[in-house]
Amino acid sequence: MSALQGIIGLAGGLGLFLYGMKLCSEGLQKAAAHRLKQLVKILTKNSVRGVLVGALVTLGLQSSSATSAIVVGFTSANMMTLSQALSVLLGSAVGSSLTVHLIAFKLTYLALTLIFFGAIFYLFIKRSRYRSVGQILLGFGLIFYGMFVMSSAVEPVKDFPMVAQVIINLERYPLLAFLVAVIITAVLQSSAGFLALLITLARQGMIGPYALVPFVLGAHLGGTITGVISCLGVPGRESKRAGLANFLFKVVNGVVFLPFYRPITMFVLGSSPDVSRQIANAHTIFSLVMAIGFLPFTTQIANFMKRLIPDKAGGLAEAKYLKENLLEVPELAVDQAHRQTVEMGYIIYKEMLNQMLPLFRSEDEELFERFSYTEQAVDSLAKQIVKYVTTLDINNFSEDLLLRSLQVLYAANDLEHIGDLLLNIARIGMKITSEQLAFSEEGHKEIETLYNLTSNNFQQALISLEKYDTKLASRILKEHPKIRRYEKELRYSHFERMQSGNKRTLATSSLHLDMIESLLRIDNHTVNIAQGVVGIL
Amino acid sequence: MARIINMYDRALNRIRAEILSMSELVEDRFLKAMESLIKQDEKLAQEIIYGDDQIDKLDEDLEMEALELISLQQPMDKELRLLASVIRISNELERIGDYSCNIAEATLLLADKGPYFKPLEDVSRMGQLVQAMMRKSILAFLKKDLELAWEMHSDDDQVDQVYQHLFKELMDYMKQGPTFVDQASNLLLVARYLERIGDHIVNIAELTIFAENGERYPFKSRKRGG
Repeated sequence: MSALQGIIGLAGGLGLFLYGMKLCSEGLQKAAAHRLKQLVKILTKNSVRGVLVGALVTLGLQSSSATSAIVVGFTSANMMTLSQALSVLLGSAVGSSLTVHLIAFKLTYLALTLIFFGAIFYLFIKRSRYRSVGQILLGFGLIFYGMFVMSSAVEPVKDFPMVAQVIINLERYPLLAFLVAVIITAVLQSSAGFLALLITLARQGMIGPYALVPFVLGAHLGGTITGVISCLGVPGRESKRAGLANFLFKVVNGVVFLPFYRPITMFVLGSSPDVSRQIANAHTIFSLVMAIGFLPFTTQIANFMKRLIPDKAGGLAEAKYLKENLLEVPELAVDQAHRQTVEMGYIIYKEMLNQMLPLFRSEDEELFERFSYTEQAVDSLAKQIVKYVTTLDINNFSEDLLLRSLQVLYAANDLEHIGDLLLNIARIGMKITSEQLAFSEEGHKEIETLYNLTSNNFQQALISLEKYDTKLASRILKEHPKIRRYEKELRYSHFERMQSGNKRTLATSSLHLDMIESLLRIDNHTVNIAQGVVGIL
Repeated sequence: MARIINMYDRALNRIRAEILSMSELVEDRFLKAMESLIKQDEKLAQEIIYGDDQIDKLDEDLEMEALELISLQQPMDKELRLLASVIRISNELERIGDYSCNIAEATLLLADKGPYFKPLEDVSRMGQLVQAMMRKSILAFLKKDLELAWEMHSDDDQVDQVYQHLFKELMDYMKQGPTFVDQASNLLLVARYLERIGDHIVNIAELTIFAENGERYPFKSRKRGG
């Protein structure tokens, strides 16, 4: 019976711990992410600084995955090279080992105090800055309290012979211990979470000393698996390269150190009398050695990753027209950017706009996922186009060329917004179907009509942009007032239905209005694109 | 980088320039009509009557252009006033063109009635006054010169005075006997056309003021400085 209680307590404590980590990291990101981002951008000029920044930012955000998300964002926007990104990632491992040191403190009463003040701040203070601080305090409190809950739950369990047997056996097979650590960490999606568990068990003397090093190495590797999996779904090669490189660092780490776990264990045991401190030290040592060992080779590793994941065969986000070598010839470069922008428009049209309507009738998670992937691809394309065009030296442009490059810049921006709005519409569609709601039959038809008007206008705008067809563009501009009038009609009939007490209308009112609003905004962006074509910029 | 001039602003400038070239054409027709009348030149009069389509076409084009601009981008209130004024000014110019035709028609009617019973001094003076007003009003429009636009108010009074004088004189001739009636009645019509052209030019000046500051019918609603 008490074994079950122990397990439940352990699991609950771990839950508190993980939730605390999440709260804490979110709060820190709200409070400081912007400044930390600036820091990353400014301070990654050389690789040693990259490591320091990585460590600091990870400590600041309490999350190495948040750091790698920032870094991957920068690399895919070409604001940072892959080798710079790798040095920051190496640093982030050091940063997270500092977190482990932090959780190695036994701070039960401080934890409860933190929870109290954190909750007060978080729940009762309106100003968002203080609320974030409250969230951070609450998060830290839950982290330590979670540790405490785990410890007290585990205490009676250690007397069970079976548990002791398993643990002793595990100690004999370091590779197995390593793999167990990898799997548990990957499942928890948090190396700190696993280490917290480890520290708890070790404090009760339930972990044999020779198992510590394999466990810590496994936690190291396991923590990168989430990153690898998540970056597979993200468009853009850079993020895949960064994620995989981070994984490989840890694999090498494991392969190199695991055979020597005995001498390393001796060293770690000598580093502190407290077992939790020993674990934290081991984690720090591995991170530091790894950082120092790989740092001189980040450029080579980056090149290797580029060969491993080549640029070709890209998905939607691949900007195949934006050739670097054409930047020398601005005329051609602007042509290419124009072509790329038009293609981006057609991606939106074919992959999103044209496939949306079924989503209002029946739930389709997979379709929604595809939309959200397309939207990310569109964002990335827009960024690449803007970067490409703004690299050109506009000062020497002829007026015509200047006009065309502005058309491209503006259109890319408008298309990106249209992508966002379409995703929002898809979200509304999903919400309706997943909550078993439905628009009223009339409302549904009206929205479909508005949708088709908007969609048709968008398609025409795209053609006018593609062919520089000013006549077509001005026809689109003349359609806009029609859409505006129709939108007013729809609002009116919506409120009419509400008044007559249509149940479906009442249940979906805000979604309905949000949908209409989004469609109108899409048409506003379409109008911008058409105005660009006629030269109103 | 230098801000490129927007297509819209460019089009607004172009439309002003088009008013200028239309007014030049209208003025040219008007001068020729007066010349045909004074010199009793039937051939010239025919030319003017046939040429009127060109002015009508310019008026139509300007109107469509202004409407197009309104539909491409919602104009700011001043732009909207300008566009509305342009549509109306081109219409006034077109009307002036029509009166030039009417004058040319009078030339034709008078041609087979022999030489004039007296030189057309007052009619010719009226024509000169009207031509000067036409130039001034378009200049005021192009330069957004409201002072100059206001001058149309008093200039038109002069035209009206000459008209009153001519009217009386021609009526007197007609009262003297039937020999003068054919010529005098047609010349009376010409004087009437000239007086009407003056009124259309006043409209252009009023529209210029409206386009600039939104004031409607300034000449009617207040006296200068009042």
